Amino acid sequence: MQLFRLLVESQNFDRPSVEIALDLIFASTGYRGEKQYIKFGLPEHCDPRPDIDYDPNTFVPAVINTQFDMRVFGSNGFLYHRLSLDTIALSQPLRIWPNQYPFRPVDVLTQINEQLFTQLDETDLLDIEYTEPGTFKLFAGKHSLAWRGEKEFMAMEAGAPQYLFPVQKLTGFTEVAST
Amino acid sequence: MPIQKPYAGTSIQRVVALMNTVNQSAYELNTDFDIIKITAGAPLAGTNTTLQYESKVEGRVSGVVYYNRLPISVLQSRTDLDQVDVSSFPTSIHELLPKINLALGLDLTTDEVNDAIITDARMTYRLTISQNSPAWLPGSYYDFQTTLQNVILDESGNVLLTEAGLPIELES
Repeated sequence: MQLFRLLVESQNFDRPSVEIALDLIFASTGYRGEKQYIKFGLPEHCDPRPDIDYDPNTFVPAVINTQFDMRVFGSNGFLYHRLSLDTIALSQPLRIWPNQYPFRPVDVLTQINEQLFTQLDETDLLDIEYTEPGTFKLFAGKHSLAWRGEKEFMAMEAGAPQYLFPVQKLTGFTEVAST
Repeated sequence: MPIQKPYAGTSIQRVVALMNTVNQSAYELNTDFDIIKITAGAPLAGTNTTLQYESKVEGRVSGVVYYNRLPISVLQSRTDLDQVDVSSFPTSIHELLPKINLALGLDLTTDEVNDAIITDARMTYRLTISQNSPAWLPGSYYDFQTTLQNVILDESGNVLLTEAGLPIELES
């Protein structure tokens, strides 16, 4: 419970989902794995006690390299807790400016990640089509290793996103010679 | 010749100024946006740093900017820098930082330079940038000159000290 709170409060989500999943597995099971030695299967929703916060809600099959850990060999798996997309904190609503309608989450992943400070990939988000501007929900992909649930966003008129600092490449700093 | 100060201002002030200058804006840190994270590496040529910011302005969204942190060794090419006044021992880089800033025309803060204890008198000491500097490249360093230039050296090149631990200066 404390570890989940720590993870959510730190908002340390700017990394691949597999790394977040390893932290979630550690928080749920106490097992600390390393991604290069674990091959995950497809995670499935499995929530026998949905009313309990941070209770396991997911099962993922996994094969662990015995060179990393001889205690576990053959096919195994982890029962752990995936986080809701809503745990990603934002001070502003998530706004998406697609190039055109309809669009899919994969088309605007860069904008999503830049605003959420995440490294979500196409597996992390449900591949559905949004056809018009308005307020909708992003849904976590069924087989995301770290995420479940949903997060509200505003689909804006097609065009460039209105970043606070629209010019991303700053020309600086540069060396100044003595005069 | 008076010291020119092309790198004046705290690192965070300089980064915010850079963001605003290039974008022709006047947003204020903490009021209009927060800096979430500054990391080494950037995908655009000519940049080596990625800064993530969170917008607090309605209608404007959070994002990233990329820029180039300079190594502090660029000070080597400057010819107008003063010597840093070192007059007592032991001391440390952090303790000397106000004098370093004065001599080099900088406004470095203690959290962006590595500290080191100084117990011996030398003509130069090394100033190394820590991982926390928003404007200077972490790990880069500059060997600044001290006022201990006109001192008496022994046969091994060590500075001779008085009983009080101060360097014996040459009589002019």
